[in-house]
Amino acid sequence: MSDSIIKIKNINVSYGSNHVLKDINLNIKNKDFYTFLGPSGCGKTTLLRLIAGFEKSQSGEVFIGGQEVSSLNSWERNVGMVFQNYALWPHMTVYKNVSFGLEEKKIDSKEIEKKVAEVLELVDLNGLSKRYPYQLSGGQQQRVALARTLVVKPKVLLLDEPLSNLDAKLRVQMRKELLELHHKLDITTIFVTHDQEEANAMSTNLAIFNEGVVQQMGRPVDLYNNPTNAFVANFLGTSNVIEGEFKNSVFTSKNGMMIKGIGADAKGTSVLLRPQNLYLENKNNSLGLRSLSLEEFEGTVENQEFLGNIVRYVVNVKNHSLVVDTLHEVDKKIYHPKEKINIFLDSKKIKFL
Amino acid sequence: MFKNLFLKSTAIFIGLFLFIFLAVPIVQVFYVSFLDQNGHFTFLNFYDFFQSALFIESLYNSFYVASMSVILASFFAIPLAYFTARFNFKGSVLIQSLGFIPLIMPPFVGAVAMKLLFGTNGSVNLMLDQWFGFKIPFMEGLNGVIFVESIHYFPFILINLISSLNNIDRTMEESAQTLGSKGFRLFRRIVLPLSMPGYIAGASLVFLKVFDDLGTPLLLDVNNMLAPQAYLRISSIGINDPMGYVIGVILVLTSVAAVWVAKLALGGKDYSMLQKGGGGMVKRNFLPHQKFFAYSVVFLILFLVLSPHIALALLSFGTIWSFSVLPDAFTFSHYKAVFENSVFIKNTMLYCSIAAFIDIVLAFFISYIVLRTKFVGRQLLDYIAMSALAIPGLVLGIGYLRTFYSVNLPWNDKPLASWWFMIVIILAVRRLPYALRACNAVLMQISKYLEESAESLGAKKTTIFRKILIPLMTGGLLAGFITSFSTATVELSATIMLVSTETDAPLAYAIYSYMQTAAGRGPGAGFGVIGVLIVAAGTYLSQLIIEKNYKQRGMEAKID
Repeated sequence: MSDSIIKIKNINVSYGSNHVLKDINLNIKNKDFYTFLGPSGCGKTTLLRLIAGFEKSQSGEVFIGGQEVSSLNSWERNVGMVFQNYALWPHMTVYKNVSFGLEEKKIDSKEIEKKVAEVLELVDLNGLSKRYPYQLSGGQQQRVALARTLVVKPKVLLLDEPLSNLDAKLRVQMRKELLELHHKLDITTIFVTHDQEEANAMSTNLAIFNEGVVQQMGRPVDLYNNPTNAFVANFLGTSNVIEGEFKNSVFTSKNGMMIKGIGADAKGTSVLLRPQNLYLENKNNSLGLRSLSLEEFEGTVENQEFLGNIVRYVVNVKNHSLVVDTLHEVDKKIYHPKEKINIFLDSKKIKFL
Repeated sequence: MFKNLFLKSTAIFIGLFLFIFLAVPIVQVFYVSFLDQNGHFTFLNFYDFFQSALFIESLYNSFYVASMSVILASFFAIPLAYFTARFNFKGSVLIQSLGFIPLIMPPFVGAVAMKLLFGTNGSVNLMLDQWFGFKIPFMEGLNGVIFVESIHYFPFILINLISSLNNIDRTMEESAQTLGSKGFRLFRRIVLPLSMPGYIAGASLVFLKVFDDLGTPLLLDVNNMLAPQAYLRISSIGINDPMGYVIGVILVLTSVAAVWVAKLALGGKDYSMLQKGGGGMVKRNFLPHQKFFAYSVVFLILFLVLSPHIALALLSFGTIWSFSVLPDAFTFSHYKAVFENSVFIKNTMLYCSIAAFIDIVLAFFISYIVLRTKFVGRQLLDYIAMSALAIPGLVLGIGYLRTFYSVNLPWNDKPLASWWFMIVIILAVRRLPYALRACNAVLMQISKYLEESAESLGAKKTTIFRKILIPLMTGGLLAGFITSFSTATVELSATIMLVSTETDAPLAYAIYSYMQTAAGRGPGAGFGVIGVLIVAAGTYLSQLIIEKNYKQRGMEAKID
């Protein structure tokens, strides 16, 4: 992997008895938009801070652009970091915040002026250079933080949950702008988030963390389609994971729910059923699903939630509570709790774990 | 409608009280400073002030002493604050508690004793002379005032600076590091400017306290400063001499300016709002030689901080202490004298408990009116009550003397200003801000819903006061009472003007007058020790109550 700009090898980090990162190995390609995704406390921010030089590992190596950086201080690494709270210096104007890094590099003041103007233009903050941070909105503060980091042309851009302090609408807009900036500047970016939608929408590659271990890495769509374990399956979208065993192309759950017609090569300890791949009908509302070659089960509606574009049901089949999503249309029937119902699935498309 | 009428008349009563006993005396001082002998308006008094070499010198000295005290206090406070905020340092607890010790004792109480420890022929210089053959003029003239004041007031800088440093989010430094900044440059560009507001607030407070202090220069025989000059003019020439008032005006204006600077430093740009994380800077570990250095500094400052207390204790137990490192022998006779003259202690107990009770009642109603009603001008009540902080006690005392001297008591035809109860009133006015702060703090924590739910269940305002508010506020009210009480016991600069007979004099006055003669020093120190013990016990007790209150609140929070 000669084109990877960041290489993480066998990294272990502990705080006392708390093992925060366990034997992490990662390669991040040049110009990638790479996301560390996971619930809080999974170690993703620790790894980001390790790359920036704010944490020390007990063992392992970190390469940035081919150079092992473990012995380098954070001010010697030339990585740019945007903090979750933006960390703008309140005693400096926007201009001063942005010019700080250039001044530290002892660049000629004419040159600084030019570069600051350029980067402020880039993040759409023209005319605000004399303001103080407290006079800016959250979104503007975020742009200043970005500008301050980008102006020194770092080798990689590290973003620590940069969107979490913005309101929902602004978050979606900043998501787009961040990606545009990323494409325009061709800068390798590492993005830390706990929001799967953000991760899926933005990243070229992602790594899913849980309890200090990388669960799986790859392209978002591959991870969604082929999760390696129940954690990944549940973290990326909603899923029904049923434990049981495979034998002669038949899966039998612990409660005796049998799924036939599964490929002979199937092995593992459970099946993964996505809610949108389960279909519903009953005698009052036949959709002709029986004419298709699908597996059929009998169940009872336990719960119904109307979410607008979809209706989400919980259906009891042999004491398994399965989540089922149906697309909602104006004239479509809505089933009610306690209603008897038939549930269909295509056993050829089932994933096993 | 009854409840509103009651509250409104209370508000008016409190307003009237503050007007008569705070506003009028101050205005009176300003007014008199612009009058000539015939009662006509004139600027001549101010002109005369600036024509007098003594006054110019005093003005210069006051500014010099106050500024130098700020500088010396900074030397004590800055390293301590930095150790605490930057390093994993076991001494931090020591530093924080050390910070409170000097505040327990006002500087004038230990001033004479400090002379015996640090004076030309004091213990420290005798030892220095014997071992190294030189002496340091710690206590010579103005030096003495600077030395004593900065030992007592450096905690104001320490406490403010530590809280300022602890508010700096670690990402403030980290983001500078990723941009290539490090070491002293990082400190100068990021940490220093962010800690400035706390430092300036503390420094201006020190400046104000030193500038206004009367007792310390008087006891150290330094008369060529503003506060002593004002006192000497009024007490020796009389209350009609305009110079005392002119100096009073200058003292007030300087104090107000210092408070204004502090407010400006802390207000304005809200640094803490932008630093959401808080939690202080990244903590480092000391290297071995740094650790040695840090502990040396802490112990040296600890010795200085405790020295007035040690010296006072030695003085109160010593027989003769002159030209020697320690007193010749030890005795209890000074304490015998103290208890034979226990009238001073009795007076103080009486005055201060009444004053603190007045404070707590006024403070309760003021904070209720300000925080819970919509009365027009309610904020003004708070401002006026709090403004007592910026008024030098000496000036308030002069104002009382001027305002109430011409009013006679109906039952014995003596002037109102010489009645002992006026000492109680002036103490109450001086200490009201302390009680008010305590009340505001608790009332702000009590949810309005607690009262509203009682109201919706049909409770009347008086019932709500009795059954909801007062029980919930008891801790805060008590803490406020104790703070007002204990700090009033050692108040000198305001009361010194109003003591007309020895039998009416409080403890602080006794310390002052005993300390002026060589023979009186022993008993004076004894009175001082008792004063310090009262304040220390009070501070400890109120801290205990506040902590207990917090714990109770913690429990309540879990229940909801």
